[in-house]
Amino acid sequence: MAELDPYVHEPVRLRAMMVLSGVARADFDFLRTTLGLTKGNLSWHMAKLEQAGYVAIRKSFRGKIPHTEYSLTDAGRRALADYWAALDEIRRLA
Amino acid sequence: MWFSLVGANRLLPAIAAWLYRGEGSASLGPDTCHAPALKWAAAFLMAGVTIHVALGFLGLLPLRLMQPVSLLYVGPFLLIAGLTQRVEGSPFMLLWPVLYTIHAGLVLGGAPIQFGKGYEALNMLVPVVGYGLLAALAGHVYSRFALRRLRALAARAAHTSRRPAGEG
Repeated sequence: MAELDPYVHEPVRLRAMMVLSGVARADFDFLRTTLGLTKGNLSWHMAKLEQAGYVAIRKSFRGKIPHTEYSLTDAGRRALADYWAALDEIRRLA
Repeated sequence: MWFSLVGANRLLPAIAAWLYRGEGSASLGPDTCHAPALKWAAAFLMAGVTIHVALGFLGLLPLRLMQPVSLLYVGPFLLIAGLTQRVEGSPFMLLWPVLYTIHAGLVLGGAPIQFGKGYEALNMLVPVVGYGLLAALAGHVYSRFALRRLRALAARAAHTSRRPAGEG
């Protein structure tokens, strides 16, 4: 029986990974507005994804304003693909 | 000339930053530095403009052919600018040189799309600025559409992952 990755299975994190899978990188505001989340909520989930090694974070400055960008790592792309495959397998068994 | 050089580097990104403020940004490709290519393209453009203006003043270039001849240096510049800045800008900016080329072809083919006596300067200005604005508008409309699709897709992904087994 296929196991669902708990890091990916959480809806907010899954949506964030879906968005990141379609771009090379996205900044904090893009993810926040696209996903309709609060700053704290997004920060929490992105930290979780970084902890799992699924997301790489790049911090820089735009003038004096901090700028944070996220990109999906190879492990993150694999985890997302495995997640959909596991979900399909579960559906087939049901 | 000013619009092409300053606009490509500073004005257009500043307008885009203002237009999409608070929305954040995403990039479709990896970081690449094409500054040397863009500088060479700008130098090529400046040389082209200088020669073009000189030929015009010397009376060696008919006014009717001003826009088609300008394609020789405007076309490569817009193409390189579009290709090197496609990560930050929109791929639709490549429409700019394409439309400019079609316009030149139509002028050479004798199509009645040129301004009359007294307004000859517009024969250059309108295609350069007009097609640029048209390309930017196409990019803007597409970006709105793509963002809506992305939001819908992300929302659907979460819904799909929570759908009970057996629903299909």
